Amino acid sequence: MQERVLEFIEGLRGAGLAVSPAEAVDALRALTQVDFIDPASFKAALRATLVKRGRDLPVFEELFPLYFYGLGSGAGEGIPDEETLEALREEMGNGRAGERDGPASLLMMLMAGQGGEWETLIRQGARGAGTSQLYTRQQIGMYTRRIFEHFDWEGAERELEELLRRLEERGWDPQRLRELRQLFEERREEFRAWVRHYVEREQALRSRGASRSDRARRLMAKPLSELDEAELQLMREAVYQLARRLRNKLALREKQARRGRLDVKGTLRRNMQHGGIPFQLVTRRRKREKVELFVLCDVSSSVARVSQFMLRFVYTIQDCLARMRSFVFVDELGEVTSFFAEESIEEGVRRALHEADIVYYARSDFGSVFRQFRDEYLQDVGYRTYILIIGDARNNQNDPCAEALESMARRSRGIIWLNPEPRPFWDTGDSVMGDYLPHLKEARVCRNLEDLERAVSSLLL
Amino acid sequence: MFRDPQDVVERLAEQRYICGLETATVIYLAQQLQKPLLVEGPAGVGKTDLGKVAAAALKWEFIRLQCYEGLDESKALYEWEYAKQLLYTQILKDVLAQELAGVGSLAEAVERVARQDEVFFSRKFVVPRPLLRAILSERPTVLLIDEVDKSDPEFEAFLLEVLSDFQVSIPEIGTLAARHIPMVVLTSNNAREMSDALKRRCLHLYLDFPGREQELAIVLAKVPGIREELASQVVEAVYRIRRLDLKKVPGISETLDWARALVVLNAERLDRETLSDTLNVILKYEKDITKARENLRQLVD
Repeated sequence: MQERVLEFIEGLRGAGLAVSPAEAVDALRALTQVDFIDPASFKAALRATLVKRGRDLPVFEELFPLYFYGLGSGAGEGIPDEETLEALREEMGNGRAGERDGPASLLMMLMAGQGGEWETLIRQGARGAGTSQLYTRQQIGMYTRRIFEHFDWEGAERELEELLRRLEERGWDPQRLRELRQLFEERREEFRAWVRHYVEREQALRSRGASRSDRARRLMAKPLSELDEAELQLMREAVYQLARRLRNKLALREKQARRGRLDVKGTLRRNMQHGGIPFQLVTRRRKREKVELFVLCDVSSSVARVSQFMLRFVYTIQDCLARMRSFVFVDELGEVTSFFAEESIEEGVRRALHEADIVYYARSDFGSVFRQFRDEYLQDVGYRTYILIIGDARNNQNDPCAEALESMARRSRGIIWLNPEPRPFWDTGDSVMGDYLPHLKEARVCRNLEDLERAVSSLLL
Repeated sequence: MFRDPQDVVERLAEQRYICGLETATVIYLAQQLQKPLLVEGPAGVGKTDLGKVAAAALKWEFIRLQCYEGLDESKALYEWEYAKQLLYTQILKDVLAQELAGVGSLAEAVERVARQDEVFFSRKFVVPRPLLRAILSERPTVLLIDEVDKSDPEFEAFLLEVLSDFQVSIPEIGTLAARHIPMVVLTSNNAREMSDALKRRCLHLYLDFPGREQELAIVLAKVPGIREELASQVVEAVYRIRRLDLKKVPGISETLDWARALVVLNAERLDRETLSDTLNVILKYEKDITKARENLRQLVD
């Protein structure tokens, strides 16, 4: 059983759960405390020691039956009664007097074997048949057949005939013999189900083991424009976690700022009441200003994906910022701050990408957008304000109007530009990145989540 | 001590806390393995109560530490009682003067005072906070660390140390080890994901809304004088309300409040009118109440 539990843990790890060795030890210790035979407490013990996050539960529930199939019920149902078993053992012993100590015959194993014995048997069979090429679900049927047929069923049937004949000689009544034959068939089907289970488990282990654990890592590095729908869903979660992590970090820093150096003057003043004995220490606070952020997101179709994630990211860290205003643009600028303030993250981002007061199907014109920003919003920009622009700077041959950007740069603390295109593509075709570069505090390539995290954390930390 | 999971179920039931065998198994394991138990789940399913009734069932001392943002060691572990120290120095001035009688130099005076300083930094002047109380307690204790997700990440790191060794070192006094390893129950609402390090050290229990039968048993156990028919109607209605898309889904505690309210109001049975009138007991947001009113037909037969 111990071995099986360890395999199960291996399976969980393969499915992306971080089960530490200490937790594995806990699981085994826990099992010594509960009643093995009771499946519910067995399961509860494993769950309490191995699964620590709500979202890992489905994986646990999915894998558990694969590993602990038929737990507590012996090897399937319908083991023959004790008397019959005794007769079987005796007869078979007689038949093969010389091999009494040899391995039990397949027939005997089938009729009387317990769960663990069947497991071992199947494992041997699998070794013989070879499961190294088992990868996809479609192969399950084939491998089940292959392993099942690896056993010498003809031999077992011959043995059964032999056995039945001898039992008949001993005067068993025909009805009972028929039942025995019937039982043999049933047990064989049960055995087949076990084999199938074994194959399913192996398959689950292999297919998941390879992919799931580093899927998250791959996702981080995958260009945002190439994600499919399922990955987008995962990505949303990843963005959220990333932002949370960043927020925790920020909160921590805030706390550390409170534990500044000793403020001698303040300490003396505070402790006047104690006759100058410094009972309460006063520390100097390190002041750190909260960042103000204006986000300008290009939402033309070419970069909408990146913008979407950026907006999500920014939405989540809003409360770390003193003030944030968000705009989306294509060839004119629309403010979406209120969407973020009032709506949930899903709805807010969705509205920002569809319902701002701009024409979404226009052609990007960065120049006119910057002009508009300079004329309408620059007065709100202060010395603490960063301006974050997300866009590919593909200006459709319009006037880049770099001087508008320059005045924005002068007034703000700095402009940071995230470009979803790789650097070699800048300034090719209708890209005017080169015109803007001199006025930027920073220009980064932002193709995937990793880039995004780096950009935002360098901005905030 | 609990003898086995079944024993947990029975003894908690004596305290009017109904739980399934799986939950009981985990509690039993926490006791046997002497590991902290991290309980997560939606609000109002009895996470906090679990700690309380476990203490009552075991007849152990119950110590509670409520977490909040900004909670630190001096609030959770121990603190020096400055005022008392100050007071004592004032009162004992004469003794101190005697002690210093005939001192020649300043250095010698400091030396003499230093010899006495452990008097002022002894157990007498330590105010034990919940964690230290649990460690020092003569009797076995159940330590409930409530809403641990509300505390700061640093505090969590500090908890790790205490929870793994159950000993505390106070620099001026030395290391104090627990006489009895307390049974520790941490509860979390998932306001913040707890660190993996903490989770690794804990057994994990996810308490969810109970099934209808279990909730009915809970209502019958906790609300005296309720008729079974009414109770099952209440449970059924709550079950249906939970399936509406609500801002705050009612927990078991709300079910109980509601059942008690209905008993007080002498309600015979739950009809649409009664439901509509008493919705504000189970739902805490105006929006939710409106939504439930709109769906009254689905909620009661």
